[in-house]
Amino acid sequence: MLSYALQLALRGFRRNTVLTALMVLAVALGIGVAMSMFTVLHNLAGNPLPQRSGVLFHPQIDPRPRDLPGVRTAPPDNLTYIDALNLYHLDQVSRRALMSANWLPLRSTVAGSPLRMETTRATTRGFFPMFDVPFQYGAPWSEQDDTRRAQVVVISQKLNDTLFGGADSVGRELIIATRLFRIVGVIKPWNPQPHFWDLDDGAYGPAAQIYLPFFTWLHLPADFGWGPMDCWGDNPGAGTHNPKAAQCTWAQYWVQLDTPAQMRAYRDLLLRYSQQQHALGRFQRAPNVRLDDVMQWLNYKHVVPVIVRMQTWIAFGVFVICLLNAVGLLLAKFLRRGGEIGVRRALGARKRDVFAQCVIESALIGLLGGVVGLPLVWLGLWLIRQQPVSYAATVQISPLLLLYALLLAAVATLLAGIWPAWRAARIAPALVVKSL
Amino acid sequence: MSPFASLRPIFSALRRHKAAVTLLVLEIALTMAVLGNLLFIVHGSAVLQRESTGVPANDVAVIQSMVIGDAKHANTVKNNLAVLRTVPGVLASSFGATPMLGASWNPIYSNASRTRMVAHAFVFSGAQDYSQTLSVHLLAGHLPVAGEIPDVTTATPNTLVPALITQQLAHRLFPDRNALGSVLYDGNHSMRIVGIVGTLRGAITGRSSDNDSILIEQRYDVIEGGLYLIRSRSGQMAHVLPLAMKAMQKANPGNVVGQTSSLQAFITHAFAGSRAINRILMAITAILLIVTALGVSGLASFWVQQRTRQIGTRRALGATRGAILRHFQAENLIIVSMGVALGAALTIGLNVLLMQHFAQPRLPLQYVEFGALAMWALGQLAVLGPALRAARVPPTMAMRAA
Repeated sequence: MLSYALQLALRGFRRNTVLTALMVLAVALGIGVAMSMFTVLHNLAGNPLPQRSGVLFHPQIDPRPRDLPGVRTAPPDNLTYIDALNLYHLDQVSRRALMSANWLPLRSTVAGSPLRMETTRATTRGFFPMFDVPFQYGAPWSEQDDTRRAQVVVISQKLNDTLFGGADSVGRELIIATRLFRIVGVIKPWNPQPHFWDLDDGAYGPAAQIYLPFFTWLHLPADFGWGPMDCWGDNPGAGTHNPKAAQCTWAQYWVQLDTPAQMRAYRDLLLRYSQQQHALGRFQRAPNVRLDDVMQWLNYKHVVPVIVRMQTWIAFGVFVICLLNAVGLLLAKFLRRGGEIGVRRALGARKRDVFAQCVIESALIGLLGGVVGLPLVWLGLWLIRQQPVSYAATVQISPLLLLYALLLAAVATLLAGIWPAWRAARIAPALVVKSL
Repeated sequence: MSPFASLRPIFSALRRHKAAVTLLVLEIALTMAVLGNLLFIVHGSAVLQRESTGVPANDVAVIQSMVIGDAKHANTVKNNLAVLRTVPGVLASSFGATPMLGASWNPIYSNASRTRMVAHAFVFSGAQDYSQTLSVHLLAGHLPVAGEIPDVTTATPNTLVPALITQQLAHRLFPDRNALGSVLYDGNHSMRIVGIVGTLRGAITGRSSDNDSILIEQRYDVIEGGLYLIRSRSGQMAHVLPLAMKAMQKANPGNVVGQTSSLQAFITHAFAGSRAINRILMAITAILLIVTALGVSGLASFWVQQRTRQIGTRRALGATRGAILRHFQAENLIIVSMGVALGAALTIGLNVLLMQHFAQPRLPLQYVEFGALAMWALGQLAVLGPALRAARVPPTMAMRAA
């Protein structure tokens, strides 16, 4: 029965090649648009570190004065210098990463080599195991390196390729911000998107090229900034040259908490700390803390750009218009064959046979549309990757999404065919046969 | 024959295809709604990209300098400015913020104890010759002069600093009196207004607060990293900027130059992402129009084929080819007009949805008008092929069996 229906469908395609081609093209274009945009959204809203995201937490506390007109009640995203230091030393059991970012001048030890500015992440040892950073050569620096402000550095593979031709450079030296640093590790290409650990400069973009111990970095001789500062009160620039300014938040902090019990304990610790600071007179507000895991934090920060969500909705709107188009054309296609259907009915075919025949034909058109649409999705994503948008370069499509695209095309067109098929099945054989 | 009489057969034909006509009307209405809103989004972003900063962006360039701890060289702002002034083609040079780069969004107070906050504004802070370098358009008062600008190292939050204010902000803060001579305060400066300027945008977001700006000048004789600014003769920046960079580097070998470009190049770069998104949206629009044209054209061919015998009959009874052509064109016009009527409502409805969920502004009615025109044109183009085919049906077709 199914093979007979398919055979008839193919015969139908051959009879109305142009109409069929129009429908396939419309479905393909619709799928191309909708799935390209959906893939972008899916990439941007995805989990950047699926294997770790459940155990990494972002503590927030609220050190701001009580009366501060026009500010949100949520605690600041980052920590002040003093809170960063306190929290870092308060709990020494959990893995933790204190960090910030800037640009630093760097040159090789060869005399007369050119200076280059490199994006820098200053952090503590915990960063590397917490975020699953893969090493090509060497290893992270040690806890002692953090404490004693050792002049050690971890560099990216890209920088290692440029400076050392990709050779194992562990043990070699670099001059960073006029000081001599020893390379302890080279990391493989690693750039989870969105880079959730620091959203101050946007959520998407290239990875840092060098990683320095936080406290070493903090005490570098010249002022290269300490990352984007957010200061309350009447002087937003208070922290520009002074990272220790009491009213400026700028340091990101993450902790690893493996069990719900640890998480509860850590939240209590944040509350206790807030209360204690309140008692000391440093904090004026009632304890106001947040402790989000990675996905909660990304949702809370609305990292997916509004325009991307809007584009996706509009793209699906276009797909719906394509389907509407398909309904109209399917109706035309089926009713044009009124004579043939009348004869089949007169020869004993049931309504349901005609209906099934038409629905199968619709699904087949959808499937064809999907097959033609897949290269269009690929082409669309390729075009998007060429765009100078921070998130574009990393947009990838997974085989699963391609499968979804095919299914969506077939199922949606099948649904679009139901009403025209029902109309076709209703054709009264007597009337049609008489008019032949 | 009155024109209305010729419409009769069209309406009776349409009544026989209620379902297909409804679908077509719906498709056209939805297409029009999406088209109008997409064009509105694209146009809004394109307008924003061309918005003036108040500074001749092609003739002003920034050289971002990072000072590496090295006291051997006389890397002071004053010395660097002197070096830049000797570069042929440089009309003025200074040190400080530019539109979109470094102006800080500060709370502004009306009293020295900083308790009465009256506004937030972009504070453009710069060194000697700052206002001449940015070439702001002075409307009243005077630009800061050498005698009145304090030295940045000795200035306290209470030292009076000469300031320029944008007309927009002056009107808001001093609605009934002249702003000149008044003093405003931010956390670090007491700013005495000496001049009123036209436009000076701290950011380009489309909000009117972009143009709430105050510019202050102080004398810098210190070693400090930041943005050096030069202004060239009109259209000369492309060859002046490399010379200026070379001169800076020669005077201070320990200097690291970060970003260096004309302000216009910087703005163009900053909007690269918006332009890319516009290209994506235009591509979606084009696909949408193609699909809808295919739909209109497909259904029209179906109708032509279905009515071949009737067309033959009309031709045999004396209808001209032109009459047949006009029949299908008029039919399309009627269907599209119904779509446009519904589409106008849907365009506004979609805009309301986008306003609620994506903070879009309200859509001006011109987009509805443009959408309607576009749909009529699209419909007529799409129906032309099938209608011409219909016109070629010979009268003898009337005698043939279907």
